[in-house]
Amino acid sequence: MQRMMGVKCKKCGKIFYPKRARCINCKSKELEDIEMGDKCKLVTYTKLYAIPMGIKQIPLPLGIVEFENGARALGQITAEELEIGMNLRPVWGPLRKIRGKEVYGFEFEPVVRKK
Amino acid sequence: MFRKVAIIGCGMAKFGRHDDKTLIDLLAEASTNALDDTNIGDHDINAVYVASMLSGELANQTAIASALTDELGLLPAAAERVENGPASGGSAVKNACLAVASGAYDLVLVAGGEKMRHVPGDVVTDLLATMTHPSAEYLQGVTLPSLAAMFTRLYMHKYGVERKHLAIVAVKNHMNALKNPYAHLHRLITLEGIYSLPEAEVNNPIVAEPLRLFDCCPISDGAASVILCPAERAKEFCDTPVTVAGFGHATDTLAVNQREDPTDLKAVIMSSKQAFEMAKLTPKDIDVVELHDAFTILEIAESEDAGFFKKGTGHKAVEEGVTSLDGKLPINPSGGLKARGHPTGATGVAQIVELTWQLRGEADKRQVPKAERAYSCNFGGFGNNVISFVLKRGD
Repeated sequence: MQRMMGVKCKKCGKIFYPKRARCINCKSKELEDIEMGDKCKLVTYTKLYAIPMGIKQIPLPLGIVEFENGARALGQITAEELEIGMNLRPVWGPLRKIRGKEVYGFEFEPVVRKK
Repeated sequence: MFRKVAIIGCGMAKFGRHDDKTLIDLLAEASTNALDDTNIGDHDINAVYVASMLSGELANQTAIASALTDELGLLPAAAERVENGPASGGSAVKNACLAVASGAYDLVLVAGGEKMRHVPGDVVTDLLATMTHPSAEYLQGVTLPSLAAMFTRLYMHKYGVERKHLAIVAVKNHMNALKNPYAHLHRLITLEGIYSLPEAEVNNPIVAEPLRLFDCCPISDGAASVILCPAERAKEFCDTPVTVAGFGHATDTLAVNQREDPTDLKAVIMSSKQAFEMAKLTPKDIDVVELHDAFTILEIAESEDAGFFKKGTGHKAVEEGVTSLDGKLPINPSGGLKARGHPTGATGVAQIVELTWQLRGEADKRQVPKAERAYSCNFGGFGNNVISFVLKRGD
């Protein structure tokens, strides 16, 4: 199973998604891979009607999610009813076609979670 | 020490759809208008900066600075293209300022242009989306309207902005563009027609919830040009020179999700602060403003982050008419990106052209009375690369 990975700065502890060459906070290049985990919440979203090439679904739900470690990611949401604060988890799947080729990545699906 | 830089000429090629003209035709038209606007005679232009985001991808022509310099008979001037997304125009003007300020060149021509309308909309939208983060955004199907939509929703949630406020921005900018012969859209729209009446649902369809058609700028063809020289020589070439009092240029995270507070446009804050510090002026000193309203929410957010209104109150200023042409601080008298149009490479240059006309008192029916100091904001990516200018009339 694919795990969604981010990076953590060994010096200042800042966590990012996706990875980068140097820390945005302290400029250190000592970054380690960390698992983002499977718990995130929806911060903001849209349903996109004017879709780009290589996408078929209209409207396309897109959102920014925040993980428990505080880092955020952006992605497609596999739900029709969207609400700020709803619980989601990353899942691996096909995202779109780019120049005719199917590309895969993480999207986010809703979960019912106890407190 | 920097030399002071003056704007001594400006010109435009109408924004809109030009099936019968090439990108070079448009750039040459704007540049010729700018040259004719000066008393430059047969003085040599030392350098040419050409702003275009997608000349290769859309107009099938690369290295366009060489082509334009040749076309204009400006050989052997130094020439280069500046590509910096939708902020290409502002970047080219800034680079030209640095070239003059440093003493390297005396007479510099800047031209910005794009030809986009002949290509299907979904292709253009996709090409524009390639400026987003390749893995964290583009791969997901993100487009610029979708980023603006998510930004708008956060803004609504946090600051109480409503759809009505966005619609007022669009109505205002369309109204201003009716007075601008170079604007793409000469179409009167009403708040009723795009917002309050039942048929508004049809007139103003959803592009990316909560954004609708009239929250988004059109895709345009067009070009704009300015000519710069050291302020000490400006009177040789121009009766009413305008001085570049200050500029600022700052960046922010490429991926919007990596911003601490995604509703803060940090590059707007930083570039504006730099521009005002260099000019030794404050937002209170400004009489007229051109902002990068690729989406209506951006006019509101930039008006706050540039320092004109307190964060979270820009929408109230719009509603109260403060930013209307007859208001206390007119924003986008040209019609802005919303209605003047947005040929990406041209936009940042067109902002400077509009403000130069305003400061010279040559803006005709859209003239802001007694405008002496002006501010512009050219916004690249989704706020990851921003250039601000403070201009003033005379020295």
